Amino acid sequence: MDGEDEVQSNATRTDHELMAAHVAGDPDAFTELVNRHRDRLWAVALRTTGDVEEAADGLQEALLSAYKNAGSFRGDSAVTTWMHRVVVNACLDRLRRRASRPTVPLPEQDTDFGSNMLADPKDPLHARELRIEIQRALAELPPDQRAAVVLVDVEGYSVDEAAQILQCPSGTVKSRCARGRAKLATRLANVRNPSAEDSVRYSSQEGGDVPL
Amino acid sequence: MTNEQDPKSGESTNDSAIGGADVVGDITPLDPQTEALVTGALASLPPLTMPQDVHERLLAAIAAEPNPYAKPAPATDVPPASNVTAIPTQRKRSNGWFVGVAGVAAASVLGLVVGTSVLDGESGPTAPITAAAIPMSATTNEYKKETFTTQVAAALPKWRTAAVAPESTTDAVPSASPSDLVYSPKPEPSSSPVNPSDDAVNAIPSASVQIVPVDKSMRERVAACLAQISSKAPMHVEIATYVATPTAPAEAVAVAALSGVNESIDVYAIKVSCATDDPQIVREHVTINTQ
Repeated sequence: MDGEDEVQSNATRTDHELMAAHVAGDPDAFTELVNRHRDRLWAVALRTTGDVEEAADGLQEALLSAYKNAGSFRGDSAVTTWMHRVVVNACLDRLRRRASRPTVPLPEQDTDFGSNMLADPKDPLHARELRIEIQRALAELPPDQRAAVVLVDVEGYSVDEAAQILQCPSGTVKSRCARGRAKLATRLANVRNPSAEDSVRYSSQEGGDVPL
Repeated sequence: MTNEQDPKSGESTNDSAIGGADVVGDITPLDPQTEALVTGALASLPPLTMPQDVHERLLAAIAAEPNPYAKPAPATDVPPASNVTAIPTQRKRSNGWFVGVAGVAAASVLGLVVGTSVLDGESGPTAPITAAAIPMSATTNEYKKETFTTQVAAALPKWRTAAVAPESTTDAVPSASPSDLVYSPKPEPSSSPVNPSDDAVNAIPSASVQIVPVDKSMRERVAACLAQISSKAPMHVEIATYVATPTAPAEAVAVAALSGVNESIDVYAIKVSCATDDPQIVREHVTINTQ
């Protein structure tokens, strides 16, 4: 059951095969799926929720739900898409519930998730500040815009893939991204030039300096 | 193109539902250079690695979850503890679990719902707490407000063990169905000392309260209650009693110990009656760091 052969076979299975194996009763298949995609799922959860605790809880909730409801996966999309969908939904649900129960954030809470983001000693200070500011700006976006921006602009999913994950039309993803980027541009303008908030250039304006 | 409409979500022209007051038509697109810089900045964020503790917790949660695709294993009831006696199913009380309280007229039964699970499933639409999946035991233990934290902390190892133990046999040995586990109105020996190794360590067995049955309706009620209170799933539920003040009668609650990340465990005492409109439904809440 837990022999090396099985481990190896799990490692070489496709995601779809692992999902099918899990539904067929393979006790290790789902764990392999989680191990295989954990970092990307974590990144989406963390950047969507903006909170380590919420991300961990949301991810756990989501993966347990996926574990129990894997039989509902029809194979119409990639397994990772389905798993990301479950994770994003869980995270957005948590955000909505949190919004209904307002909490006071910690003052000056470090939103630069994970020490690995600051671990590079060669990282210029301004780049580090920019990253922190990006995280903060992301956290200020409405959850649905944040999820779209995270999936498309941070995690590199295509608009169509993000639309599948978010279960909305591609146009909705585009519009959410556009709104989110516009807000981020305004916010991030201050990183380079604190007085330049108004200098964010829009297409309707004439050229000039770009604040980033 | 940023003005495409969503034909089915209702976001077609107004995104205010997701927090923005702007409407699609009002989006002023960034100039390409600015947009490129924004997307470039976003793309430059370094990849994140799941922390090891989160990974381990996830795997533990999955391992602890009954596999719905394995051989039927409908329930994960905790084996009767030393002060819990299982009796036949027919032993259900017909007039509710409050009948289980004897001796003290004012006393009502508290449900001590103890979840020490590594599971964490806030019941959103995707992860309802399954009543049958909540290991539940019933005792005559009496938890007191002033010593609640100590009592709970002392009991945690036992609850964890009890919650994990059934999992090892889940695939092979179907356990009793939730409604099969009914507890007897065991008279508490008045002379029995508190044994630190007993279930719910250091909880004080009540001499006046009988064990109440844990039946399907109670499971469902508690599960629904927990789903509204916490995002985390319990590993173990103990039906017991709780006394808020020395002069107060025992009252009906449920206490849920729920694990989060970083080994912190929330323990709630909630009323088993689980009236959603009851502002006092949570009688106790402590967070215990087990690290």
